[in-house]
Amino acid sequence: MAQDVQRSPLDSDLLGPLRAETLTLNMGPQHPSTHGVLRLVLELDGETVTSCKPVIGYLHTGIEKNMEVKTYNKALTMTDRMDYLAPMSNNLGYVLAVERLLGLEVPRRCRWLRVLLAELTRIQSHLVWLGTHGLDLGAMTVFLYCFREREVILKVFEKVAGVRMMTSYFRVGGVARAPYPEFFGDCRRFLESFPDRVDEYEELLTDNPIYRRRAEGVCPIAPEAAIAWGVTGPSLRACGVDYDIRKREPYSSYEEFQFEVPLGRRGDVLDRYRVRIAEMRQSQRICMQALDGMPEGPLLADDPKVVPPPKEQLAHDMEALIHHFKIFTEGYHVPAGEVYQVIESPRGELGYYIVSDGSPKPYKVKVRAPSFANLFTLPEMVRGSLVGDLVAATGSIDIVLGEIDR
Amino acid sequence: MSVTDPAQESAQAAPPEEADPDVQALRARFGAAVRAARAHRGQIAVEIAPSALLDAARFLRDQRGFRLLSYVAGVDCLELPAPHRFKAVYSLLDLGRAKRLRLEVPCEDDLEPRLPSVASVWPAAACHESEAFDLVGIVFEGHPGLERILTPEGFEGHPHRKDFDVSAEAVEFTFRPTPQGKPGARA
Repeated sequence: MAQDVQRSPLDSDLLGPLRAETLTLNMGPQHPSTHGVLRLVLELDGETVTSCKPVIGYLHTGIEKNMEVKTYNKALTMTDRMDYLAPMSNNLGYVLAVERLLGLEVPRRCRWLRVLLAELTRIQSHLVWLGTHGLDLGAMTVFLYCFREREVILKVFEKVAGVRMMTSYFRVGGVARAPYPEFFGDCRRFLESFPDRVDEYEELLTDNPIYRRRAEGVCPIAPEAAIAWGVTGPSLRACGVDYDIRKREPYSSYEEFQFEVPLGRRGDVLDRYRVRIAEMRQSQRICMQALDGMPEGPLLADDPKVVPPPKEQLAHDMEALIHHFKIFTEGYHVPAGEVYQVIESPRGELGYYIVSDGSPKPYKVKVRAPSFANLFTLPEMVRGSLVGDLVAATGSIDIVLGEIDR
Repeated sequence: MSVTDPAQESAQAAPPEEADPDVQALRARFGAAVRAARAHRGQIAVEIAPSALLDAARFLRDQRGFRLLSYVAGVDCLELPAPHRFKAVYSLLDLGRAKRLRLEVPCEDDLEPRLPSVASVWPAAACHESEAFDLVGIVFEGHPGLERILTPEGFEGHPHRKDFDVSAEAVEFTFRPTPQGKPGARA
């Protein structure tokens, strides 16, 4: 009799046997947690992700192709449109690649200034990441705090480069113009207060039981798998792999700075969070060292064929006028050859592979965007996890679709 | 471990290409399949025959420690002095030594460029090979799912080829005659 009681009208007699089949779901291309225009084709078994396929290209604008028809100076302005959250890092990778092709050394003051700005970029990029990662997981407040500090950095960028985001401030052979007089003071004032701000973020999340439940042990990846899939940057270091390009293949005088490389252990969402939080503190440390020890001396490389002369000279110096004219019309010839220059961008290994045929325009530019490789690790990370965790994982690898699609 | 700082070695003071231990190891193992090695601005590039690519990839990963593949790039050498039109460039990284090596593999058929896929050696290669297929048109045989990745479905041609026509785009205009018999608003 008991069995009869359990029978309901929705019983198999009416609906047939319970079918077990998977559901294909499109997440995106318009979805807030995809951080841009990204489509994830998910195969779901109930709430469990059985497969995930990233579909990209919605922001493809042919930047690399476009660079081939621009002189080296003009192509620079396209670099910060790729990873728009880390414009200075993109500028840096590109100018270092071109300087390497040219065999051009920039003065020490310039290298230090670039380090200072690249680390400020890392801080503001990590702040956007932290804020949006918090939003993904329902922690609204963090976002507001992070954008408060990010705004300060963007204001400094605006004053130093003239633009908040598309800075194009680093130029081949130097920087676009000398920093404004209060620049170092502005940086110092912000950086001195910044560690307290990071404490605030940590108070909101690090020991927050809700956040911990969403992040701890979620979507981990093993170090071997991460390396095989080409993961770089904080996501790789969260697995405990000690590889930071700033330390291992130093560029732009990073070898002169003291800092630690934060590492995780389990490679889960929480470790990626911890690594980036610690990286912000280390970046602050690097910036303070750069401010304290900023070398005096020239800012631009001494190469009139590449570095434009000061505007004042044009009125009375014929040679300067000719150089100016040549640089801005024909551009400078870069010796034929190929280089691959890497830097540690906030997202990982950002590399510029440039082929020069000796003309003033790059023959071929291939941008090794860290987000591109990192994104295609996502299927590996989320297989077998819940849909809700997928959102946490997507946020935790910190992708920027602008540089993925280029 | 050598006493010299590996980062310095790979970044600036790289020895001439033939003295490089990885090039020597490749030459010892693959002989004539290693067609050329050259150093430029402190970076080493090795040209490998396509037939030896897969074996060389496994050898470099397992014996030489190049466990991370940074990228695969397709290059159209149409305007460069090169015997073959297309080549694929593989950038490898040994995390332990902080050593990078660039492999260059020419496609022997200029009209239908084909290369074996190295996705079975480095899973990371899959997405980069898809990109090289999409933009340059190199077909990677044995790839787990080679398809266009950046350009939309139904896109014709490979935009990073040097002869890709970027000058104009055909725009189709359709006209609907107005009652007066004159062409009017676009349909």
